[in-house]
Amino acid sequence: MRSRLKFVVLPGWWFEVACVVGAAALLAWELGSGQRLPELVPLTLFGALLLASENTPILFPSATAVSPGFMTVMAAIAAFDHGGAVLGASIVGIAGGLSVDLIRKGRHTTVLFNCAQYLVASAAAAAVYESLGGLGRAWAFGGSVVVFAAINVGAVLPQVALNYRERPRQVWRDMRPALPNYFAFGLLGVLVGVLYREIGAVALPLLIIPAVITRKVFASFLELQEAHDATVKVFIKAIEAKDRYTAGHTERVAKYALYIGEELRLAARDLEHLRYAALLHDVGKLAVPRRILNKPGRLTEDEYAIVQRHNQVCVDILTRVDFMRSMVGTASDQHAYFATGASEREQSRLVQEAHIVAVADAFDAMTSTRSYRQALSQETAFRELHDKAGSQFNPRCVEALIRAIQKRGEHYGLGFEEGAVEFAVPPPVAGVGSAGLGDLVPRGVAT
Amino acid sequence: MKSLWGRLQPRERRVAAEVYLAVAAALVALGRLEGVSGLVVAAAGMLLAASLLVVVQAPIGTVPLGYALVIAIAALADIGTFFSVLALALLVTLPVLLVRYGPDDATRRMTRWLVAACACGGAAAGMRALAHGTSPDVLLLQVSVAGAVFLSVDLLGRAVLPTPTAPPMHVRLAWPVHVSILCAAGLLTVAYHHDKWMAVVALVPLVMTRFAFDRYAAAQEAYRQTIRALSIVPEVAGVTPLGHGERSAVYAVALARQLGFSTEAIERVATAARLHHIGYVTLDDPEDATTHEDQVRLAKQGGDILRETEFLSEVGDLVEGVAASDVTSREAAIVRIATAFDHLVLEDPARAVGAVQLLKFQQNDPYGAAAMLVLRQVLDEDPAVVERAIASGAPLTEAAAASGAQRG
Repeated sequence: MRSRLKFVVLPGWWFEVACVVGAAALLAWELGSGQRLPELVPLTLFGALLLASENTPILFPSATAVSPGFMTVMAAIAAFDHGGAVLGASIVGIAGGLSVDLIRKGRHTTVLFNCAQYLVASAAAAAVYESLGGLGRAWAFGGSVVVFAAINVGAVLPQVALNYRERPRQVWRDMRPALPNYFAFGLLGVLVGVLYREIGAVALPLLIIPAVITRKVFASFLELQEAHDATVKVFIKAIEAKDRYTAGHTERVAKYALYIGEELRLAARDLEHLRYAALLHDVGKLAVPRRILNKPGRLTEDEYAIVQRHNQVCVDILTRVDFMRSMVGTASDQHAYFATGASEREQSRLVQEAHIVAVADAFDAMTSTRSYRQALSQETAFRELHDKAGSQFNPRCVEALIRAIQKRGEHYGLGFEEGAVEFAVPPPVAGVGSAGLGDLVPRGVAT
Repeated sequence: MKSLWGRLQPRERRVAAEVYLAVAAALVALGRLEGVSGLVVAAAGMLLAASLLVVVQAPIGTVPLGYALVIAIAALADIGTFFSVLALALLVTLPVLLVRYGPDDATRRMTRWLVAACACGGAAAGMRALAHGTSPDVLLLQVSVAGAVFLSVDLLGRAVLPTPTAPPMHVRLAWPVHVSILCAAGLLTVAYHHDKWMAVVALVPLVMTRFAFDRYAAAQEAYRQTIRALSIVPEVAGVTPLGHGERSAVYAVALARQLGFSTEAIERVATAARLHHIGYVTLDDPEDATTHEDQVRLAKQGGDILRETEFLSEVGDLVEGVAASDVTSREAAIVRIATAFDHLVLEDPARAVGAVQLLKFQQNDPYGAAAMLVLRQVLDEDPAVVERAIASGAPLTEAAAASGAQRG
């Protein structure tokens, strides 16, 4: 059976086609002007390298994708420095646009556009490298990096803005963090190019092998993180299966905790830690009998004693297990526990994490319908948090949550609940208290 | 607006600081060796020492970043200069190692480095005698041989003189780190030969590799901690003895190693041993699981929970298989024997012998009989495994004892 060629056209197709025409004209001029063509072997080698590197970007944990493509371009320029650098870099550059993924998706005009912008940027970088060579290698290198980056950004920014109808400022904000990489990878590329000229292809494995290893390790890292996330989610499901009236609670608490963390400008790594702690803050529920967890109405003294005993046993045990300490912090106000073996910085992080999750947990408890009462309105929940700020909740965390929600224009609570649990008997408007650990907000947490 | 430095994650800042350190090391150590003076040797030695204290996390164990510098200096400098720089570096490193690892560990590391560096220096000198010239390809040959000798002797040293604070290095897992070190040394050497400033750039791939391994090691530890944390939930709930998961994992790993299982299979049986009671979290009352049928049902529920994630689906099968009437794999048999053995021994090592006798009559399936045989071998060859297992569960049991917590 014949498969039909897939062809996807995005709104910015005309811009892409215009760039392709311009690049084709430039290549025709280069070929027609009698420029020297570099040898076929290095041309093929660097072209293949660029193709491979553009199709296997290294994904950094901070979600930045670093393509070592520019490194290959600079390597080619440095390797062809003694003749045919501009034409050689142009031809090698074409390979930079050949993305297998885009071809599979039928984005053929985008593929051609990428080839074109890579061709022009590589040719310009090579021309600058050659012309500034007399001033010294540093000038030549700096000039070529700036020119390549300027053409790359100048072409890709409008293309993305047109195709995805994004504001140019936003596209620039996304592209800006990757700019310093041009210098690091460019320098490495020059080194490889120079070594290639001196000792031939034997220089390439010295760079390619560590790059392949690094890429593989980063890929394993991301896979492991995915496994971690999947495992945590499975246990969240187990918690929610046991206490169905809090379905979606942990995910929402994690979301609010991240809102607060972002407002407080926590580092990416601390945010990641906060997310896991928030997702697992209710894991203790797995140790509490279901009949108590799901009881509508006030707990008896005996039942409350069972919950408290479980809570205390959890806290006592977990604080002595280093990997569980932060989870204890999120579930209790007993800061003395943080002192067991943690450094001062670590203690401060754990305390902050506990404060954040306490506020997020309380906000979700108030704005969700429970078996013993209907959800409160967002305004009531904010007022309650404000009233308890300084005595029960950390005021900074309270302010951060309110600011984050208002900034996003989001609404939670009565009238805005998503996926609320259906109860056989509708809960009363006002309730008597909690039957779950999730509502046992820390007492005396204040700074 | 936050500065570039402020936008970096803490670990990335550390890596950035290391780049600067490596740059300085490369500049001073490699840029000035030609006109050797006492001051330059001192500076090079200090910087080599610093780079020896920065490690690359291999999947198991660590490798100092400074190895690349040792190999490059051996290939570039004459033997006298090499040993001057090395001696100074080791002298500067020693106090830090003593504080960090204690006298026994520090002495072993120092000895290993010294022997490996001597072999490396000798190999480089030998290669210089055999292959004359300073062309880049000759240099590359010299650094490759010197590097291979250094890393081989270092690995041999790890086997002969194992350090108490570091796990044994598994070549099968650590080779990517060694290859990266060797490539960095090669790149450093030929880059320096071409242009001293280029040597600085040559360290970039190694620093990136280090960053990648570092993040992977941190993620691996976090994942293990989550698994451990979750495994103690049934214990805290009182449906299974405190510390049972951790102790069972120690026995399961010992049995799997004895049978020569792959690293992945060892990890799998350890995780299954830790999580084999996870189905019990669905119980409302511990008294609800008294019959064998209950246990099979709960094991299936545990398996179902774990199979919901693709990554733990094999562990889920194992957990279910452990309680099945007919064990159908060696891995399931090992987990079953390990957990059953711990149920009998708990925290009393004196019960180990009796437990083996009891288990002997409980296992009548081929996989179980084979696993039983392996358990006896492990206990004969390494009787301390019982103490190690009890120690691994001790944080939980001691905590429970300290709080006077009632069970159930």
